[in-house]
Amino acid sequence: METIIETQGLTKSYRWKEAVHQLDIRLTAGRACAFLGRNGAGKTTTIKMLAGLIRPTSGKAMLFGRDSQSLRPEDWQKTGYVSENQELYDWMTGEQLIAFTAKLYPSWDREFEKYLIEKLDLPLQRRISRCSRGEKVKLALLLAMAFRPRLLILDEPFAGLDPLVRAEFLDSVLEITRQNDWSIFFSTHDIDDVEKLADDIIIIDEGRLQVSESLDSLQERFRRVDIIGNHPPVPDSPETLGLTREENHSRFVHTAFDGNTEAGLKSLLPDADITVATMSLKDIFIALARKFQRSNSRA
Amino acid sequence: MLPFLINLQLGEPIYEQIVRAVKKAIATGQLQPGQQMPSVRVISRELGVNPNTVQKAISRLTDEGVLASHPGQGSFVAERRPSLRSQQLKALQPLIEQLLVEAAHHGLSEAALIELIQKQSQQIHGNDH
Repeated sequence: METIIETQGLTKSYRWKEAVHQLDIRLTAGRACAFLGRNGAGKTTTIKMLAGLIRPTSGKAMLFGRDSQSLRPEDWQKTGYVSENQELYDWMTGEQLIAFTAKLYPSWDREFEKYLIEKLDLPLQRRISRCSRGEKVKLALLLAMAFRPRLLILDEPFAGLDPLVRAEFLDSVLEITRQNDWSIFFSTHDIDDVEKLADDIIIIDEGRLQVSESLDSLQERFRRVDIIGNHPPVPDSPETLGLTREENHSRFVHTAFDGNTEAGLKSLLPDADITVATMSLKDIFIALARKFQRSNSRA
Repeated sequence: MLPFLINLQLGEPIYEQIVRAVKKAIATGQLQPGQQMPSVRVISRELGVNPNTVQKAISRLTDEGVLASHPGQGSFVAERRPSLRSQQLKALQPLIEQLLVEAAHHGLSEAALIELIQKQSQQIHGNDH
């Protein structure tokens, strides 16, 4: 599969801190990747380097195999980008801005534009300065999608949107996947929305790569385990997270669960009642974020 | 509307939920052998999920012989053919073991368990089985 996004040793240092450290990530065509991390993890800095808006201290970011520092207009004509606080020409109406933007893209699709206007329920005659935040974000999405980009980059697209707008937004983003050639890279804190959209999950913390794998494999290997009844202390291992014990109830997250783990636990603790449950991505993320928090406060 | 009932929950891989929903719809007769399945595109739009996820579920169902794919025409619910005894064992044995373990934990006798299974089976298949 063709590589659409790639970073090699991508690093950004500011005088007071290193925002991104030796980051190696990759996105191939035909996949949607969620880029997750706590506040200040380095997500926006990374995305800005991907878009060529800020210069890496070392290493490089590439779109379509081309260094992000030397992207050409034709590279932008196949890349849709919605940034966290998108500035739009807010003296225009939605209709004027759409007409203005359409001229910049040879591949602008009028039919798709109409579809998105209806789907996103956009007010066209109102000045953008008078639109709500949700309406502005939806308009930014339309402008980033109507030319049918091969790559859609979204930085915190769902932030501050109400649930209905979020659902419309998500459905519209999914329309891109009906093209022959598409890929999506998005950062978000609204993790519940990720399970429906993402193929791949990348998690960074303190600018460093922590997780990079498919959502399926992540959900296959993480399990919440509860052990109730008389049992010896559960050994803390690199594979367990957040081990707690209250009287006869131990609870932890197993990060390398497979077909043999449960039988192994049962033979180790024959007198206890062991319950194993699958986890939502949100719970997996929270378990990991707690670990990051602890290891940072220890450092 | 999709020809099978599904209510997506967070926490379990979505492709597994689709696989289970399709198998259940076949077991209850909501989906009939020979019936054409909606395309990946239609299912993905109806559920609002990534088409790769739907494709994974359809491939899994095809590999298991639940669906048959006719190139150029899409996927169809396979004619039900009793699988080989060895396949039946492989698919069911772990589930039965789990069931027996749980039943023992709850102090359920074998007879009571069998009664429970018959009752549930009537709910799924109706009384004609």
